[in-house]
Amino acid sequence: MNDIIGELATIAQNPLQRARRWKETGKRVIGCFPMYVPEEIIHASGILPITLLGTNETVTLSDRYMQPYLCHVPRSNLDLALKGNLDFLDGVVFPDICDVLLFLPDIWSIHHPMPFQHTILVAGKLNSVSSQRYLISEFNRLKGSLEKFTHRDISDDDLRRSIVIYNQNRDLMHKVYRTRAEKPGVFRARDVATVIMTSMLMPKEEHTALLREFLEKAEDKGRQQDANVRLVVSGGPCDQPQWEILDLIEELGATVVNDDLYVGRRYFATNVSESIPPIEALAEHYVNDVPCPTKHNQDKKYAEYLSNLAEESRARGVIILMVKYCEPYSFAYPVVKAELARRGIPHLLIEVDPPISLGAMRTRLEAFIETLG
Amino acid sequence: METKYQPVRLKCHEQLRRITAEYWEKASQVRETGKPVVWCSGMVPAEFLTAMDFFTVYCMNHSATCGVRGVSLELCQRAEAEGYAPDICSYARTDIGSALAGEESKSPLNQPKPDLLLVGNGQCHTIPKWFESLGWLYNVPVILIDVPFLHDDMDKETYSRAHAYVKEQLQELISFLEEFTGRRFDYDRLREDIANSRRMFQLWQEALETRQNIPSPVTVFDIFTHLFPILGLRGTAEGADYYQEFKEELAERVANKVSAIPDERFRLHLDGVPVWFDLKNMASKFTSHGAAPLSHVYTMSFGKFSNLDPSKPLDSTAECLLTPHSNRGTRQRTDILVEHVEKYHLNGLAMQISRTCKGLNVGVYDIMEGVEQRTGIPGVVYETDMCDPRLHSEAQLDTTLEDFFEMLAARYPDHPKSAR
Repeated sequence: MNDIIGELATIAQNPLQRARRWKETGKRVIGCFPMYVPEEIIHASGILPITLLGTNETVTLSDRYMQPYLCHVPRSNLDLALKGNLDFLDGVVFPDICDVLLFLPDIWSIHHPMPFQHTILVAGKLNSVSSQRYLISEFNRLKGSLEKFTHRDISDDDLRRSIVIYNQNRDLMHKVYRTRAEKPGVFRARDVATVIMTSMLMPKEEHTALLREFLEKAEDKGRQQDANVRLVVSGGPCDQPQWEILDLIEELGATVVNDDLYVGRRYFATNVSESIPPIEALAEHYVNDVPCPTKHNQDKKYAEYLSNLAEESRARGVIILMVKYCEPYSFAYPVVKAELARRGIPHLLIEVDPPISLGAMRTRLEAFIETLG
Repeated sequence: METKYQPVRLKCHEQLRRITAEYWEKASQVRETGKPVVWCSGMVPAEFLTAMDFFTVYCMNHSATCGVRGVSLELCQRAEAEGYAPDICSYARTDIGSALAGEESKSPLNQPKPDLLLVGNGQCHTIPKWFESLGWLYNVPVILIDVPFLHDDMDKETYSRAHAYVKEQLQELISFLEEFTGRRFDYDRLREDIANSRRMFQLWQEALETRQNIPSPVTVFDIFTHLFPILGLRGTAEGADYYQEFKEELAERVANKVSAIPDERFRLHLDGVPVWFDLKNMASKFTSHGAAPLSHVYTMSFGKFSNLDPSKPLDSTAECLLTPHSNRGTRQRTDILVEHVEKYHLNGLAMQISRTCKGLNVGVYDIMEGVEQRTGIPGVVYETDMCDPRLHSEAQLDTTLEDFFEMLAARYPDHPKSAR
């Protein structure tokens, strides 16, 4: 098990390396901005989709074009592009889920034009006939752009095959989460984050094979001690795992038993239907996936979802990693706070604006975990 | 020390006061009349609501007024106490803070509580979050008019699909309103209200064209004061009548060669959202240097609304919702600004960044650089905010602006038109 985690950790530490190697074999790679690009469509076109999570480092070059008081990941991704680190990509796809991602594509096209650039206008409401129809037409437009780019048609069979491959991968990630729920402490939070993050960075088929082996070996491991404080970690839209924070939580005597992180459960939470026309299935998946503050009028549902997750996981508390300057999640926070309080679930809000400093965070985390202990 | 200039008020200011007071008088009685109340964002199909006899309240108007009256900071802090982060939109924090404070709110406006919330995201994607918060606090429905963004690379087919989508949502809105009010939708009234709005937006646009004159009879600081009817009185004849008067007065000023400021030396574009809590002082920082800000995003916002067409209510409304400045990509915004530089003979760009307004501040550097390259006029960037005085540093701002005016003075020793 450790060998596989070691292998995956190497990929996560150097997130673009695996995709670069794929590219060297003469194949194409497209970078996707978090959080809602229907990767299956890109996969079906024979291109490797990877998620652009930025880095947890300070940005330098993108400050000329994007104010430092905008959220970190878009700035960090533009920074990587300006430094030439994304030159190997054949293209980039943006989902316009917030103001920053609404305006970034046009800035990106000025400073870092790529052979392929596409923006999906997904930010629609979820609850009307018109919006569902529109979403389907937007996913079809992405398909059309890719067909034009690759000079190759994407058939429904291609799409179905990709959906199956993605669902298989999701099933295994679910299994990781189930194993963790059954044997708390069996995986470190860092290892779970590594598993999910690498799924975003390498061919799904290859990740699935590694994950199978990883899970087989994990079955031999016995139940770990369950005396630690059980926690759910939430938030973290778009950004890389906050490795040091996850480590610190465990170091302070708590166990992460579940999460609502993007590089976490949010990435694989629900499967895509294999029984209806594939583009419709992807649109339906976007609409029926777990609630998210970036989607219209879901804050209340999101608060309920998170509270249910904490209760079902028998967590003593929730740690919310709030990405600084993230408007959708910031607007949802008071709603979440009220719902958690109503159910008597304690929480700790931690603001994340990389590069992070653990100093003050340690004291707050320590106090929080102690009161729950 | 330069003397601070007191701007000459337009005569129609008296009329503005009267119609604003009438509006608030109606607002205070709306509960007794049994009219439903809808709170709206700026870019919404307001006429569909007035046609069904809703009383329309504009949340941005509310936040701006709270800013002008000096209570926005307190209201922002009220929202922050509830968990709203201090770096999110200060318009939203002000309005939400007021809603949270309820009867205790220091808001100068006694707004009737909403029965319905109507929001359009053709303005930005933050404003729906603000309205969702209001929906949560007041427990009333939130209707989003989802307006696809016109990216710089958008092709015709994608535009027509977006147009069809917005139009379909207007049809859905009609069905919703019929159910909500229990009455058949009044198409005759819709055409009538759209005709009123069309006349209002046409007059507004014509009035703004007087800015082509040198000297200009009006600056954006006058325009900020006269923005209320463009939102609050949409769909009414009073709104249109008001801008008739506004336009005539500006035409009269042009005929008599009356300048909005005493010694117009520079003609500027002012970006960002107005600094509502320090508006007079900010105006004076420009006008006391002979700088007349003539172009502003708020004068671009309703650019195409004069295309509202009572004979094609759904099609023309969908077009208006899709095409405002706020719904366009960086290159298109640059193009619009270049047009303004030429049309209004501008010779400087004051790129005011409102820190908590992401919809206007993402891309501002590229827009400035693009306009500088294409027109040769210089720009300056400075930061402040619309409703949060804690993000406003006067000393820093003064230094930046004074350096800029000095540079402009060196570059344009004579009047801008001859200099360019």
